[in-house]
Amino acid sequence: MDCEEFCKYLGAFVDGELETERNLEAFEHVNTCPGCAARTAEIPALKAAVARVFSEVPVPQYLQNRIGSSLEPHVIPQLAEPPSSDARAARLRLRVLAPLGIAAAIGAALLLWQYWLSSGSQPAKVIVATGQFVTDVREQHRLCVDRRGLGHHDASLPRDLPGTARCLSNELQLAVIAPDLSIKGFDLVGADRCGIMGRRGAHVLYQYALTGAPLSVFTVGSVTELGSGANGSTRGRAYFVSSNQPLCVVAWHSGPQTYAICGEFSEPNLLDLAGAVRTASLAGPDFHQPAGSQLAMAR
Amino acid sequence: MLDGIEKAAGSVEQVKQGRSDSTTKARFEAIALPHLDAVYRIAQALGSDAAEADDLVQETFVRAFRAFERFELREYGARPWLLRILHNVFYTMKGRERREPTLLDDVDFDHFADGLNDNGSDWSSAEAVNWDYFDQEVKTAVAQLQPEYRSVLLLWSIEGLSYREIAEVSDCALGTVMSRLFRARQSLRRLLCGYARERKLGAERFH
Repeated sequence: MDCEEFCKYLGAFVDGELETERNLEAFEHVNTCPGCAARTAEIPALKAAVARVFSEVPVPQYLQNRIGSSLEPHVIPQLAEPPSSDARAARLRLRVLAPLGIAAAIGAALLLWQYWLSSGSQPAKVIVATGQFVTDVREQHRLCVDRRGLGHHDASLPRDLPGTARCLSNELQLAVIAPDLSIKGFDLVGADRCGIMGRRGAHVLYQYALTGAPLSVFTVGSVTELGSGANGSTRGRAYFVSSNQPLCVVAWHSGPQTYAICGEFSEPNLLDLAGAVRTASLAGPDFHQPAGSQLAMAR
Repeated sequence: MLDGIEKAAGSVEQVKQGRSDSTTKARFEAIALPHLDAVYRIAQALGSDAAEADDLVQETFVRAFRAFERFELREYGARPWLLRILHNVFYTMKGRERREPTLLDDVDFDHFADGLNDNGSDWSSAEAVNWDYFDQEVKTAVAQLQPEYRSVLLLWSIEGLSYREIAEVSDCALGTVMSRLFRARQSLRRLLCGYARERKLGAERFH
Protein backbone atom coordinates (compact mmCIF):
# COMPACT_ATOMS: atom_id res chain seq x y z
CA MET A 1 0.00 0.00 0.00
CA ASP A 2 1.42 3.39 -0.96
CA CYS A 3 0.74 6.79 0.60
CA GLU A 4 -1.99 7.76 -1.86
CA GLU A 5 -3.90 4.57 -1.28
CA PHE A 6 -3.41 4.81 2.44
CA CYS A 7 -4.96 8.29 2.43
CA LYS A 8 -8.14 6.83 0.96
CA TYR A 9 -8.42 4.49 3.91
CA LEU A 10 -7.06 6.85 6.53
CA GLY A 11 -10.37 7.64 8.26
CA ALA A 12 -11.68 4.11 8.21
CA PHE A 13 -8.31 2.82 9.42
CA VAL A 14 -8.22 5.21 12.38
CA ASP A 15 -11.83 4.37 13.20
CA GLY A 16 -10.98 0.66 13.19
CA GLU A 17 -13.57 0.03 10.50
CA LEU A 18 -11.40 -1.62 7.84
CA GLU A 19 -11.67 -5.24 6.90
CA THR A 20 -8.88 -7.34 8.45
CA GLU A 21 -6.67 -7.79 5.39
CA ARG A 22 -6.85 -4.14 4.37
CA ASN A 23 -6.29 -3.13 7.95
CA LEU A 24 -3.06 -5.12 8.08
CA GLU A 25 -1.82 -3.49 4.88
CA ALA A 26 -2.60 -0.04 6.27
CA PHE A 27 -0.95 -0.91 9.56
CA GLU A 28 2.24 -2.05 7.81
CA HIS A 29 2.33 1.14 5.77
CA VAL A 30 1.93 3.35 8.85
CA ASN A 31 4.81 1.56 10.53
CA THR A 32 7.10 2.36 7.66
CA CYS A 33 5.90 5.86 6.75
CA PRO A 34 6.29 8.63 9.35
CA GLY A 35 4.29 11.07 7.21
CA CYS A 36 1.20 8.87 7.12
CA ALA A 37 1.66 7.99 10.78
CA ALA A 38 1.45 11.73 11.53
CA ARG A 39 -1.65 12.05 9.33
CA THR A 40 -3.55 9.60 11.52
CA ALA A 41 -3.66 12.22 14.28
CA GLU A 42 -5.80 14.47 12.12
CA ILE A 43 -8.86 12.24 12.14
CA PRO A 44 -9.43 12.30 15.93
CA ALA A 45 -8.58 16.04 15.90
CA LEU A 46 -11.23 16.68 13.27
CA LYS A 47 -13.71 14.54 15.17
CA ALA A 48 -13.02 16.40 18.40
CA ALA A 49 -13.32 19.79 16.69
CA VAL A 50 -16.72 19.02 15.18
CA ALA A 51 -17.95 17.50 18.44
CA ARG A 52 -16.74 20.53 20.39
CA VAL A 53 -18.40 23.02 18.06
CA PHE A 54 -21.77 21.29 18.05
CA SER A 55 -21.88 20.02 21.61
CA GLU A 56 -22.02 23.46 23.17
CA VAL A 57 -25.68 24.03 22.36
CA PRO A 58 -27.92 23.30 25.35
CA VAL A 59 -31.55 22.38 24.74
CA PRO A 60 -33.57 25.52 25.51
CA GLN A 61 -36.17 25.28 28.24
CA TYR A 62 -39.00 26.35 25.95
CA LEU A 63 -38.29 23.42 23.63
CA GLN A 64 -38.29 20.97 26.53
CA ASN A 65 -41.66 22.39 27.61
CA ARG A 66 -42.95 22.24 24.05
CA ILE A 67 -42.00 18.58 23.71
CA GLY A 68 -43.48 17.79 27.11
CA SER A 69 -46.81 19.33 26.18
CA SER A 70 -46.82 17.71 22.74
CA LEU A 71 -46.62 14.27 24.35
CA GLU A 72 -49.93 14.70 26.11
CA PRO A 73 -52.29 11.97 24.86
CA HIS A 74 -54.91 14.45 23.66
CA VAL A 75 -52.37 16.21 21.47
CA ILE A 76 -51.02 13.14 19.72
CA PRO A 77 -54.05 12.29 17.57
CA GLN A 78 -54.00 15.80 16.12
CA LEU A 79 -50.43 15.27 15.00
CA ALA A 80 -51.03 11.75 13.82
CA GLU A 81 -52.49 12.60 10.43
CA PRO A 82 -50.82 10.51 7.76
CA PRO A 83 -48.69 12.52 5.36
CA SER A 84 -50.06 13.12 1.91
CA SER A 85 -48.83 10.67 -0.68
CA ASP A 86 -48.26 13.52 -3.09
CA ALA A 87 -45.67 15.70 -1.42
CA ARG A 88 -45.56 18.19 -4.27
CA ALA A 89 -49.31 18.75 -4.18
CA ALA A 90 -49.13 19.11 -0.42
CA ARG A 91 -46.46 21.76 -0.74
CA LEU A 92 -48.52 23.60 -3.32
CA ARG A 93 -51.59 23.47 -1.09
CA LEU A 94 -49.47 24.72 1.78
CA ARG A 95 -48.25 27.67 -0.24
CA VAL A 96 -51.79 28.63 -1.18
CA LEU A 97 -53.49 27.88 2.09
CA ALA A 98 -50.84 29.06 4.53
CA PRO A 99 -51.39 32.80 3.91
CA LEU A 100 -55.17 32.29 4.11
CA GLY A 101 -54.73 30.33 7.31
CA ILE A 102 -52.53 33.00 8.83
CA ALA A 103 -55.00 35.71 7.83
CA ALA A 104 -57.87 33.70 9.30
CA ALA A 105 -55.90 33.08 12.51
CA ILE A 106 -55.12 36.79 12.88
CA GLY A 107 -58.76 37.68 12.23
CA ALA A 108 -59.95 35.13 14.75
CA ALA A 109 -57.40 36.39 17.27
CA LEU A 110 -58.67 39.95 16.79
CA LEU A 111 -62.28 38.87 17.21
CA LEU A 112 -61.42 36.88 20.31
CA TRP A 113 -59.45 39.76 21.64
CA GLN A 114 -62.32 42.19 21.15
CA TYR A 115 -64.75 39.70 22.66
CA TRP A 116 -62.46 39.18 25.57
CA LEU A 117 -62.00 42.90 26.09
CA SER A 118 -65.70 43.62 25.82
CA SER A 119 -66.94 40.67 27.88
CA GLY A 120 -64.16 40.75 30.47
CA SER A 121 -64.60 39.18 33.85
CA GLN A 122 -67.44 41.18 35.29
CA PRO A 123 -66.15 44.60 34.25
CA ALA A 124 -66.85 47.15 36.87
CA LYS A 125 -65.63 50.24 35.14
CA VAL A 126 -64.66 51.68 31.83
CA ILE A 127 -61.41 53.52 31.92
CA VAL A 128 -59.83 55.50 29.18
CA ALA A 129 -56.16 55.10 28.39
CA THR A 130 -55.11 58.39 26.95
CA GLY A 131 -52.37 58.98 24.49
CA GLN A 132 -50.19 60.12 27.36
CA PHE A 133 -50.65 56.80 29.11
CA VAL A 134 -49.65 54.84 26.05
CA THR A 135 -46.66 57.11 25.52
CA ASP A 136 -45.61 56.56 29.10
CA VAL A 137 -45.81 52.79 28.78
CA ARG A 138 -43.81 52.93 25.60
CA GLU A 139 -41.16 55.13 27.18
CA GLN A 140 -40.87 52.98 30.27
CA HIS A 141 -40.52 49.86 28.15
CA ARG A 142 -37.90 51.47 25.95
CA LEU A 143 -36.05 52.86 28.97
CA CYS A 144 -35.74 49.43 30.53
CA VAL A 145 -34.80 47.70 27.28
CA ASP A 146 -32.51 50.27 25.71
CA ARG A 147 -30.89 52.26 28.48
CA ARG A 148 -30.77 49.74 31.27
CA GLY A 149 -30.25 46.80 28.99
CA LEU A 150 -31.95 43.45 28.81
CA GLY A 151 -30.11 42.37 31.91
CA HIS A 152 -32.35 44.72 33.89
CA HIS A 153 -32.99 42.92 37.14
CA ASP A 154 -33.04 43.90 40.76
CA ALA A 155 -30.44 41.73 42.48
CA SER A 156 -32.63 41.38 45.56
CA LEU A 157 -35.23 39.46 43.55
CA PRO A 158 -34.95 35.75 42.73
CA ARG A 159 -34.01 34.85 39.18
CA ASP A 160 -37.00 32.58 38.69
CA LEU A 161 -40.48 33.71 37.70
CA PRO A 162 -42.51 32.26 40.59
CA GLY A 163 -40.01 33.55 43.15
CA THR A 164 -39.88 37.00 41.56
CA ALA A 165 -43.68 37.23 41.37
CA ARG A 166 -44.01 36.14 44.99
CA CYS A 167 -41.48 38.70 46.25
CA LEU A 168 -42.92 41.56 44.23
CA SER A 169 -46.49 40.64 45.18
CA ASN A 170 -45.64 40.67 48.88
CA GLU A 171 -43.73 43.90 48.64
CA LEU A 172 -46.18 45.81 46.45
CA GLN A 173 -49.29 44.23 47.95
CA LEU A 174 -50.79 43.33 44.61
CA ALA A 175 -51.06 40.17 42.56
CA VAL A 176 -48.10 40.60 40.23
CA ILE A 177 -48.57 38.99 36.85
CA ALA A 178 -45.53 37.04 35.73
CA PRO A 179 -46.62 34.13 33.53
CA ASP A 180 -44.27 31.45 32.28
CA LEU A 181 -43.97 32.24 28.57
CA SER A 182 -41.13 29.79 27.90
CA ILE A 183 -43.38 27.58 25.80
CA LYS A 184 -43.52 30.49 23.36
CA GLY A 185 -39.78 30.97 23.58
CA PHE A 186 -39.77 33.96 25.93
CA ASP A 187 -37.44 33.73 28.91
CA LEU A 188 -37.23 35.99 31.94
CA VAL A 189 -34.40 38.50 31.60
CA GLY A 190 -35.19 40.76 34.51
CA ALA A 191 -37.74 42.11 36.94
CA ASP A 192 -37.90 45.37 38.84
CA ARG A 193 -40.32 47.87 40.38
CA CYS A 194 -40.71 50.07 37.33
CA GLY A 195 -44.12 51.66 37.61
CA ILE A 196 -46.05 53.60 35.02
CA MET A 197 -46.99 57.25 35.23
CA GLY A 198 -45.67 57.49 38.74
CA ARG A 199 -47.65 54.51 39.99
CA ARG A 200 -45.79 51.82 41.85
CA GLY A 201 -45.78 48.59 40.00
CA ALA A 202 -43.89 45.55 38.89
CA HIS A 203 -42.13 45.18 35.57
CA VAL A 204 -41.25 41.71 34.32
CA LEU A 205 -39.14 41.77 31.19
CA TYR A 206 -38.95 38.80 28.83
CA GLN A 207 -36.91 38.16 25.72
CA TYR A 208 -37.56 35.85 22.80
CA ALA A 209 -34.60 33.51 22.67
CA LEU A 210 -34.20 33.41 18.91
CA THR A 211 -34.53 37.03 17.87
CA GLY A 212 -33.95 38.87 21.13
CA ALA A 213 -37.35 40.58 20.85
CA PRO A 214 -38.28 42.04 24.24
CA LEU A 215 -41.73 41.88 25.84
CA SER A 216 -42.71 43.75 29.01
CA VAL A 217 -45.44 42.83 31.45
CA PHE A 218 -46.25 45.57 33.95
CA THR A 219 -48.60 45.16 36.89
CA VAL A 220 -49.91 48.27 38.60
CA GLY A 221 -52.51 48.63 41.35
CA SER A 222 -56.19 49.18 40.69
CA VAL A 223 -56.84 52.29 38.69
CA THR A 224 -59.74 54.61 38.03
CA GLU A 225 -58.19 56.54 35.22
CA LEU A 226 -55.18 56.25 33.05
CA GLY A 227 -53.77 59.69 32.63
CA SER A 228 -54.97 62.70 30.83
CA GLY A 229 -53.59 64.52 27.86
CA ALA A 230 -51.40 67.56 28.03
CA ASN A 231 -54.46 69.81 27.82
CA GLY A 232 -56.58 67.73 30.15
CA SER A 233 -57.89 65.81 27.19
CA THR A 234 -59.32 62.40 27.95
CA ARG A 235 -59.31 61.22 24.38
CA GLY A 236 -57.93 57.75 24.04
CA ARG A 237 -58.86 54.11 24.00
CA ALA A 238 -61.49 52.73 26.35
CA TYR A 239 -60.69 49.65 28.40
CA PHE A 240 -63.08 47.66 30.56
CA VAL A 241 -61.41 46.81 33.83
CA SER A 242 -62.47 45.96 37.35
CA SER A 243 -61.57 48.83 39.59
CA ASN A 244 -60.57 46.46 42.39
CA GLN A 245 -58.18 44.39 40.27
CA PRO A 246 -54.55 45.10 39.44
CA LEU A 247 -54.04 46.30 35.93
CA CYS A 248 -51.80 44.42 33.56
CA VAL A 249 -50.01 46.36 30.84
CA VAL A 250 -48.07 44.61 28.12
CA ALA A 251 -45.63 46.30 25.78
CA TRP A 252 -43.55 44.92 22.96
CA HIS A 253 -41.61 45.90 19.86
CA SER A 254 -42.37 45.05 16.31
CA GLY A 255 -39.96 46.55 13.86
CA PRO A 256 -39.56 50.24 14.67
CA GLN A 257 -42.90 50.41 16.48
CA THR A 258 -43.61 49.92 20.16
CA TYR A 259 -47.04 48.63 21.10
CA ALA A 260 -48.88 48.63 24.40
CA ILE A 261 -52.12 47.15 25.60
CA CYS A 262 -53.78 46.95 29.00
CA GLY A 263 -56.58 44.99 30.58
CA GLU A 264 -57.15 41.96 32.76
CA PHE A 265 -54.96 39.34 31.19
CA SER A 266 -55.26 35.67 31.93
CA GLU A 267 -52.27 33.44 31.30
CA PRO A 268 -53.72 32.01 28.05
CA ASN A 269 -54.27 35.58 26.82
CA LEU A 270 -50.67 36.42 27.52
CA LEU A 271 -49.46 33.22 25.88
CA ASP A 272 -51.47 34.07 22.77
CA LEU A 273 -50.04 37.55 22.77
CA ALA A 274 -46.50 36.23 23.20
CA GLY A 275 -47.12 33.90 20.26
CA ALA A 276 -48.21 36.85 18.10
CA VAL A 277 -45.16 38.87 19.14
CA ARG A 278 -42.93 35.91 18.35
CA THR A 279 -44.49 35.56 14.90
CA ALA A 280 -44.03 39.26 14.25
CA SER A 281 -40.46 39.07 15.44
CA LEU A 282 -39.63 36.11 13.20
CA ALA A 283 -41.35 37.70 10.23
CA GLY A 284 -38.85 40.54 10.35
CA PRO A 285 -39.11 44.28 10.33
CA ASP A 286 -41.73 44.39 7.57
CA PHE A 287 -44.32 42.71 9.73
CA HIS A 288 -45.96 45.37 11.85
CA GLN A 289 -49.39 43.98 12.62
CA PRO A 290 -49.31 41.27 15.28
CA ALA A 291 -52.67 40.15 16.64
CA GLY A 292 -54.12 42.91 18.78
CA SER A 293 -51.91 45.60 17.38
CA GLN A 294 -54.82 47.58 15.96
CA LEU A 295 -56.20 47.78 19.44
CA ALA A 296 -52.94 48.64 20.98
CA MET A 297 -50.71 50.65 18.73
CA ALA A 298 -48.86 53.31 20.60
CA ARG A 299 -48.84 56.55 18.67
CA MET B 1 -80.11 0.33 34.06
CA LEU B 2 -78.25 -1.03 31.04
CA ASP B 3 -77.30 2.50 30.12
CA GLY B 4 -75.84 2.96 33.55
CA ILE B 5 -73.83 -0.25 33.28
CA GLU B 6 -72.54 0.71 29.84
CA LYS B 7 -71.57 4.15 31.09
CA ALA B 8 -69.83 2.63 34.09
CA ALA B 9 -68.00 0.18 31.84
CA GLY B 10 -67.05 3.02 29.56
CA SER B 11 -65.73 4.99 32.51
CA VAL B 12 -63.65 2.03 33.68
CA GLU B 13 -62.21 1.69 30.18
CA GLN B 14 -61.43 5.40 30.14
CA VAL B 15 -59.72 5.17 33.50
CA LYS B 16 -57.73 2.15 32.32
CA GLN B 17 -56.84 3.95 29.11
CA GLY B 18 -55.81 7.01 31.10
CA ARG B 19 -53.58 4.89 33.34
CA SER B 20 -52.13 3.14 30.34
CA ASP B 21 -51.44 6.49 28.66
CA SER B 22 -49.74 7.87 31.71
CA THR B 23 -47.66 4.69 32.16
CA THR B 24 -46.61 4.74 28.53
CA LYS B 25 -45.74 8.42 28.76
CA ALA B 26 -43.71 7.85 31.91
CA ARG B 27 -41.81 4.96 30.27
CA PHE B 28 -41.25 6.98 27.14
CA GLU B 29 -39.97 9.95 29.12
CA ALA B 30 -37.60 7.71 31.07
CA ILE B 31 -36.20 6.01 27.96
CA ALA B 32 -36.32 8.68 25.26
CA LEU B 33 -36.00 12.07 26.90
CA PRO B 34 -32.42 11.47 28.17
CA HIS B 35 -31.45 11.53 24.48
CA LEU B 36 -33.06 14.90 23.82
CA ASP B 37 -29.62 16.54 23.85
CA ALA B 38 -28.31 14.20 21.18
CA VAL B 39 -31.34 14.65 18.96
CA TYR B 40 -31.23 18.41 19.41
CA ARG B 41 -27.55 18.62 18.49
CA ILE B 42 -28.04 16.72 15.27
CA ALA B 43 -31.23 18.63 14.48
CA GLN B 44 -29.39 21.91 14.97
CA ALA B 45 -26.87 20.86 12.38
CA LEU B 46 -29.45 19.47 9.97
CA GLY B 47 -32.01 22.28 10.17
CA SER B 48 -31.54 25.41 8.15
CA ASP B 49 -32.35 27.57 11.20
CA ALA B 50 -33.19 27.26 14.86
CA ALA B 51 -36.95 27.20 14.30
CA GLU B 52 -36.61 24.32 11.83
CA ALA B 53 -34.37 22.47 14.27
CA ASP B 54 -37.01 22.90 16.99
CA ASP B 55 -39.69 21.54 14.68
CA LEU B 56 -37.49 18.58 13.75
CA VAL B 57 -36.94 17.71 17.40
CA GLN B 58 -40.58 18.06 18.36
CA GLU B 59 -41.80 16.00 15.42
CA THR B 60 -39.18 13.35 16.15
CA PHE B 61 -40.38 12.92 19.71
CA VAL B 62 -44.03 12.97 18.74
CA ARG B 63 -43.46 10.24 16.14
CA ALA B 64 -41.30 8.29 18.56
CA PHE B 65 -44.02 8.49 21.18
CA ARG B 66 -46.63 7.26 18.72
CA ALA B 67 -44.42 4.31 17.77
CA PHE B 68 -43.22 3.64 21.27
CA GLU B 69 -45.44 0.60 21.87
CA ARG B 70 -43.71 -1.12 18.96
CA PHE B 71 -40.22 -0.10 20.05
CA GLU B 72 -38.00 -2.97 21.13
CA LEU B 73 -35.11 -1.68 23.18
CA ARG B 74 -33.10 -4.88 23.02
CA GLU B 75 -33.17 -4.87 19.26
CA TYR B 76 -32.40 -1.21 18.70
CA GLY B 77 -30.95 1.20 21.24
CA ALA B 78 -33.02 4.26 22.11
CA ARG B 79 -30.56 6.79 20.73
CA PRO B 80 -30.06 5.22 17.28
CA TRP B 81 -33.82 4.70 17.13
CA LEU B 82 -34.52 8.38 17.83
CA LEU B 83 -31.81 9.50 15.44
CA ARG B 84 -33.25 7.31 12.73
CA ILE B 85 -36.65 8.90 13.26
CA LEU B 86 -35.02 12.34 13.17
CA HIS B 87 -33.37 11.39 9.90
CA ASN B 88 -36.71 10.30 8.42
CA VAL B 89 -38.46 13.42 9.71
CA PHE B 90 -35.79 15.57 8.17
CA TYR B 91 -36.16 14.06 4.73
CA THR B 92 -39.94 14.08 5.01
CA MET B 93 -39.90 17.76 5.94
CA LYS B 94 -37.58 18.50 3.09
CA GLY B 95 -40.00 16.75 0.81
CA ARG B 96 -37.28 14.56 -0.59
CA GLU B 97 -38.32 11.41 -2.25
CA ARG B 98 -36.79 8.25 -0.97
CA ARG B 99 -33.45 8.07 -2.65
CA GLU B 100 -32.81 5.18 -4.91
CA PRO B 101 -29.71 3.11 -4.17
CA THR B 102 -26.72 4.63 -5.88
CA LEU B 103 -23.74 2.89 -7.33
CA LEU B 104 -21.90 3.67 -4.15
CA ASP B 105 -24.43 1.61 -2.22
CA ASP B 106 -23.31 -1.42 -4.15
CA VAL B 107 -19.60 -1.10 -3.55
CA ASP B 108 -17.82 -3.66 -1.45
CA PHE B 109 -17.18 -2.86 2.15
CA ASP B 110 -13.52 -2.64 1.41
CA HIS B 111 -13.63 -0.65 -1.83
CA PHE B 112 -15.61 2.41 -0.79
CA ALA B 113 -12.85 4.78 -1.82
CA ASP B 114 -12.46 3.47 -5.36
CA GLY B 115 -13.19 6.16 -7.89
CA LEU B 116 -12.48 8.96 -5.47
CA ASN B 117 -9.07 9.72 -6.89
CA ASP B 118 -10.31 12.95 -8.38
CA ASN B 119 -10.47 14.63 -5.01
CA GLY B 120 -8.38 12.24 -3.04
CA SER B 121 -5.25 14.30 -3.13
CA ASP B 122 -6.28 16.48 -0.20
CA TRP B 123 -5.46 13.88 2.41
CA SER B 124 -2.18 13.08 0.75
CA SER B 125 -1.13 16.72 0.60
CA ALA B 126 1.78 17.69 2.77
CA GLU B 127 -0.17 20.19 4.87
CA ALA B 128 -1.54 19.42 8.30
CA VAL B 129 -4.52 21.30 9.67
CA ASN B 130 -4.58 22.36 13.28
CA TRP B 131 -8.28 21.96 13.92
CA ASP B 132 -8.13 23.72 17.27
CA TYR B 133 -7.86 27.13 15.61
CA PHE B 134 -11.04 27.00 13.59
CA ASP B 135 -14.18 26.46 15.66
CA GLN B 136 -16.27 29.00 13.75
CA GLU B 137 -14.85 27.91 10.42
CA VAL B 138 -15.60 24.27 11.24
CA LYS B 139 -19.18 25.26 11.95
CA THR B 140 -19.43 27.15 8.68
CA ALA B 141 -17.81 24.35 6.73
CA VAL B 142 -20.14 21.73 8.20
CA ALA B 143 -23.12 23.92 7.34
CA GLN B 144 -21.94 24.01 3.72
CA LEU B 145 -22.01 20.22 3.38
CA GLN B 146 -24.90 18.49 1.69
CA PRO B 147 -27.35 17.19 4.31
CA GLU B 148 -26.45 13.57 3.55
CA TYR B 149 -22.78 14.23 4.24
CA ARG B 150 -23.47 16.51 7.19
CA SER B 151 -25.69 13.94 8.84
CA VAL B 152 -23.13 11.14 8.53
CA LEU B 153 -20.31 13.37 9.73
CA LEU B 154 -22.23 14.46 12.82
CA LEU B 155 -23.39 10.96 13.72
CA TRP B 156 -19.75 9.90 13.57
CA SER B 157 -18.20 12.85 15.38
CA ILE B 158 -20.79 13.97 17.91
CA GLU B 159 -22.60 10.77 18.68
CA GLY B 160 -19.63 8.48 18.19
CA LEU B 161 -21.65 5.89 16.29
CA SER B 162 -19.91 3.08 14.45
CA TYR B 163 -20.19 2.93 10.67
CA ARG B 164 -22.70 0.12 10.94
CA GLU B 165 -24.86 2.11 13.37
CA ILE B 166 -24.68 5.14 11.08
CA ALA B 167 -25.80 2.93 8.19
CA GLU B 168 -28.79 1.78 10.24
CA VAL B 169 -29.71 5.28 11.32
CA SER B 170 -29.32 6.67 7.80
CA ASP B 171 -30.91 3.64 6.20
CA CYS B 172 -28.14 3.20 3.67
CA ALA B 173 -25.34 0.74 2.88
CA LEU B 174 -22.09 0.57 4.79
CA GLY B 175 -20.11 1.51 1.70
CA THR B 176 -22.25 4.61 1.33
CA VAL B 177 -21.50 5.63 4.89
CA MET B 178 -17.77 5.22 4.31
CA SER B 179 -17.93 7.12 1.07
CA ARG B 180 -19.94 9.99 2.53
CA LEU B 181 -17.75 10.19 5.57
CA PHE B 182 -14.65 10.23 3.39
CA ARG B 183 -16.04 13.04 1.24
CA ALA B 184 -17.31 15.02 4.21
CA ARG B 185 -13.96 14.92 5.97
CA GLN B 186 -12.22 15.72 2.74
CA SER B 187 -14.44 18.78 2.15
CA LEU B 188 -13.87 20.02 5.65
CA ARG B 189 -10.15 19.58 5.33
CA ARG B 190 -10.05 21.37 2.00
CA LEU B 191 -11.91 24.37 3.44
CA LEU B 192 -9.85 24.44 6.58
CA CYS B 193 -6.59 24.20 4.64
CA GLY B 194 -7.72 27.28 2.75
CA TYR B 195 -8.37 29.16 5.99
CA ALA B 196 -5.04 28.01 7.39
CA ARG B 197 -3.17 29.23 4.33
CA GLU B 198 -4.97 32.60 4.51
CA ARG B 199 -4.02 33.07 8.13
CA LYS B 200 -0.69 31.28 8.00
CA LEU B 201 -1.80 28.96 10.78
CA GLY B 202 -1.25 25.28 11.35
CA ALA B 203 1.18 24.98 8.46
CA GLU B 204 2.96 21.93 9.79
CA ARG B 205 4.20 19.68 7.05
CA PHE B 206 4.24 15.94 6.86
CA HIS B 207 7.42 14.32 5.71
